[in-house]
Amino acid sequence: MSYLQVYASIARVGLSAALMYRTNFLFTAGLTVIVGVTVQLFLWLAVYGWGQRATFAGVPFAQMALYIACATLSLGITRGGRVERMVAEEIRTGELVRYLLKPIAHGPATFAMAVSERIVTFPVVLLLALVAVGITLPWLPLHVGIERVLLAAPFLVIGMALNFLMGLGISYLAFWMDEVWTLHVIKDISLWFLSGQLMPLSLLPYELRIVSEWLPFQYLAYVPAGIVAGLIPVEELPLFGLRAIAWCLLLMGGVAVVWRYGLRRFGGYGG
Amino acid sequence: MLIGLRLWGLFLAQALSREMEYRLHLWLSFLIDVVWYAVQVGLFEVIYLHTPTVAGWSRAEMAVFLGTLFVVDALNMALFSTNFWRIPQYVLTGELDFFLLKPVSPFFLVFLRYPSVASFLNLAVALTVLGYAFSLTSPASVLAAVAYPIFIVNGLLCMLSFQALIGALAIRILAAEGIQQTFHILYQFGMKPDSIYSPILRRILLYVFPMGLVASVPAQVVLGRASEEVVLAGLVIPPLLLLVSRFLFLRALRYYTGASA
Repeated sequence: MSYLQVYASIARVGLSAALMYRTNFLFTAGLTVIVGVTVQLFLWLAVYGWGQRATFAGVPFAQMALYIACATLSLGITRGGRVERMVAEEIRTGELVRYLLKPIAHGPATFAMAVSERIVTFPVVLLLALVAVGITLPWLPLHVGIERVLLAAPFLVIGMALNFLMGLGISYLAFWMDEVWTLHVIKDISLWFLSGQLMPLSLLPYELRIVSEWLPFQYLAYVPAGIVAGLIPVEELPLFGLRAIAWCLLLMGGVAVVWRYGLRRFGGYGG
Repeated sequence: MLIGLRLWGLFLAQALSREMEYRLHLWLSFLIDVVWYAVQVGLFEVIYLHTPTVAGWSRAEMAVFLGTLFVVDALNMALFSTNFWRIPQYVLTGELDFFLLKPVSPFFLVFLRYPSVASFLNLAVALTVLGYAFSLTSPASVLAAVAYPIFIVNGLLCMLSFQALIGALAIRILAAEGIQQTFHILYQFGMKPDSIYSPILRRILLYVFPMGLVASVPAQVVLGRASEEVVLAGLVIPPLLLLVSRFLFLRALRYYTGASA
């Protein structure tokens, strides 16, 4: 079996596992997206004075609404989930030995499972975001250029990888700490703001905007949604792309180091 | 009442000794809500950089709304939330048996057995935010200031009622793991002033699904923005809702069979 075939098999297993939890997932993910997008759109409608203001910080309402829907959608897709968190539990309970005994690398195997989880997530989140926009703003003419969606797609994949690496890095801290779920929750809550899900990061004061440009969080929502909504000029994309790839490499290196040192402390004892 | 208070005092002492064993967990739990407060404040601070009002709320008034939201939320987290998250587990493992066997109201035990020490620390932060908000703007009148704590308590009762209703549902459908998230998702409607919503949704959030009573109405009352209708709804609905949800919760217990046995 080739290297790719091994991880494709793991991804297939992950897909079955993700579908197994579909009822629970559909209910919570569905409600999260619908309520999240609806509340956000109402807030921005109020900010625009229910149509009395043509623009807010230079952004017309239709563009802002499209951004908010896309940003919620992006974070919904790129957000880490069950798979990364389960790693901490595997370390804590000693189940990690299952991986250590197999001829597979733990990071790529977990990534294959995480990809499967998002394959299940994507169509549901997409559909529900459209429903939420349809319910809240049925009158809004939203024009989404297919070329912009295609330009945003690679950033969505990079965003997913970045969030996965952040989540995996946190879970690997379970080699040293009993419980890391609080860190996952802190990360997830911080991402609402830092990723630009709640508002375009271009609205931040200049100094904070500069800082946010050098951080990895914007690739999870602001960059993909900003491209689709037309808030980010196409000519700036190569620079965003380079920075995103640099962050991916940096986090991969960091996570690999944490894994290596953590594994030295790990002891899995069967019963 | 006195026995209940003494009992809860014991629960708090136990929670304190438990949390002292895992101090890092205590501080991280505290940090979760601080980050959540920062996110909510951050969003509105950025919005107010570009506009003087949102849905008729100035920056100072929005600070009062957020302070109120944080106080009600911290009280809920400190008193009820940890317990609420445990309900499906109680049902699945049969741990609920032990609550039913004791000579105390099961409603009291289920929702107050495990106070959260970290959330009491969050309450201090929330009160600081509220104090800052009142340094920016004052209560509309002495009467408004006196009534404000009553509406905060009523907001808390609304939170408890919603959790009791979902808890009742968890008991009825057994495999209800994750059902608690429903409350936290719907709670998002209460995290913004109700004046941002359409008139129909505002009505729904006041009478049908009264999330507006959690923080929006108390903030409107103290700022003198609430109409007589809203004030009346804020006074009457929460105790009624609690009575109904308590009744439904206790009724749901009749269907509990002690599955673990």
